[in-house]
Amino acid sequence: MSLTVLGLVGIGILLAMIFLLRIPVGFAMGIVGFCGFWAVLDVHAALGMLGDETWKVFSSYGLTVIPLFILMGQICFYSGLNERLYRTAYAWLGQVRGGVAMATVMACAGFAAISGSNTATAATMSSVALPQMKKYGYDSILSTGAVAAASTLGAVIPPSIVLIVIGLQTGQSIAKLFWASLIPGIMLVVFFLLRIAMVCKKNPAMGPAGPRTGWKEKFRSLKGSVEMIILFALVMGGLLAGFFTPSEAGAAGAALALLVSLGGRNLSWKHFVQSVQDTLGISCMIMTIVLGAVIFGRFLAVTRIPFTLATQVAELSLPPLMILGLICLLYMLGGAIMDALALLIITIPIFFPVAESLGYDPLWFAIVVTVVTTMGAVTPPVGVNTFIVSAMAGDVPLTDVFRGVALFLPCYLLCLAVLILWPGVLTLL
Amino acid sequence: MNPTNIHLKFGSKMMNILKKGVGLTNRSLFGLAGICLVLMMALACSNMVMRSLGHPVKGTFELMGFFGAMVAALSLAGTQAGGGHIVITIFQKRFPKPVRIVLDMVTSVLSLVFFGLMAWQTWVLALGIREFEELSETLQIIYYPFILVVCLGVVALVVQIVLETLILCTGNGEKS
Repeated sequence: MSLTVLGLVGIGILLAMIFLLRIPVGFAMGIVGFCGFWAVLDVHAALGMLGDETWKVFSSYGLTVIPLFILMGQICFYSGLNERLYRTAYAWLGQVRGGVAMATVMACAGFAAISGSNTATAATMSSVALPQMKKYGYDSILSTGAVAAASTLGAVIPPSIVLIVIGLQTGQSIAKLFWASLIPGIMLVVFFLLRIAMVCKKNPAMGPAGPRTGWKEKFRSLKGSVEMIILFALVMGGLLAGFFTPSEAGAAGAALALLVSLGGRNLSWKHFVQSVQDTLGISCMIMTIVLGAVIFGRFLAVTRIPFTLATQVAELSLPPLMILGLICLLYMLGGAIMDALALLIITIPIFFPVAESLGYDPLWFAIVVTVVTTMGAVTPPVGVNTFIVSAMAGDVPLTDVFRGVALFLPCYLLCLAVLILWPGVLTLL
Repeated sequence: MNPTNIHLKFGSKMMNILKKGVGLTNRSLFGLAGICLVLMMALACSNMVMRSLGHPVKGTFELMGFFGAMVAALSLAGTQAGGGHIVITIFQKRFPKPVRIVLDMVTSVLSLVFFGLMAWQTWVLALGIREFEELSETLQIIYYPFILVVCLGVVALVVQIVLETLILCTGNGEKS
């Protein structure tokens, strides 16, 4: 059996294990990678690699950025930042048609600028925003669709855990990835707002205007979002100015979030412990996937699959844009059936060399695949965010949430079209 | 009371003791991981402050890496117990219950062997480093105990998977 065939068999076994065995993605990648390495070289090499890589990955300074950024987001989450952001956005936008849904999008974007978690945003914003939209007679299709779609912003707007992992995997600067992802993040927010306005203009009953709020109340509500602005400015500003490394940015952000929350008496000891526990669980899950990906990557490297694939794709007579379209389609389908982070970690070692051989900028490619895969969090049959929103809404069937999400899918496609047709947009800021 | 009932009762009691023991161990390791996480945050912040004063904390990057390793390894078992790993259930949930249980058993055995080997190899690595008296690059301290902590975390994960396999074997239900 040639090395390429062995590599393809390994990828096939990995997919079969992930989809049939209910095995954690990181475990499956580690097991297939280890066995594949053993098959190509020998058992001693595979055992030595297993011990070495476990220690190297777990003790890598670069990976310490993951728990620290997650801790920052969890502290903000348990201190009730979501609710405060929502109140601010509601005070400014609530009185226009569709304004409560717009306020939800803005609050999700604000929270995404602190935390990188889609699911936490979907769960909390559902509990905060859905009752309000129900109170003002919003159609459940629009209200649940807005929450599910806007909560995906966490993966695109920096600091995003997905981008951190891509940066670590491809050796790109995390600061540059964060900076580049700001434009698509802002674009998605603007497109979501415009889409809500369009839907409510066509059918005003879907999102009636809420009660008016005075200027005094509007300005008073800004107090609730000050900490978000300070944290975002500290993390992004410090990173870009080169004052600190990504790990230090995460640590500074977490420490500041803790101080602000304690100062504002928004965080109890119980909630602090919960935020640490959640951080450990999420970080461990990500670190296990990264370890599995590193072991699987070692196997792929000895089979030379990524290089063979990149060479063969580069020799194809198809235009690069068509190949990119096919890759995007694969990510779209993959994102619809599995978690975005896991999908990206599995596929990046395979598709990144292909993109580079086609002459695409790695930074641009990373942002494009992040946006494509993010769509998967709201598209059937898996669509994690839609399940959460449907469960939190209680009386709204899943089909209605998917119908609501369908309203926002053109926004993602438009954003992708802009990124593909005008790649320079990422460097505008 | 017939002997079968006595056996069942004894087995159930042993299982409860095992569950409690494993749960307590996982919580303790999780607690230690939490302390390491907070220390990591404090260390990075201290270094930033001290660096701005012209006196960076020596070996910060190295210590951060060691703490990071402990954070990841010591939370392995607790995360597994809490069902915190990403699992794709889209096709499996369509299978009949007996098939699902058999597939779960296969998953458990594969995971058990893999992490058993991982624990063994991290142990071997730690002993090798101790034997050659290898020191860390910046601080020049012995660092094999940190690798032993990683080994401990993986062993705790193995024990957690053993418990889950036993629960599956005794027919106390499927994985959540």
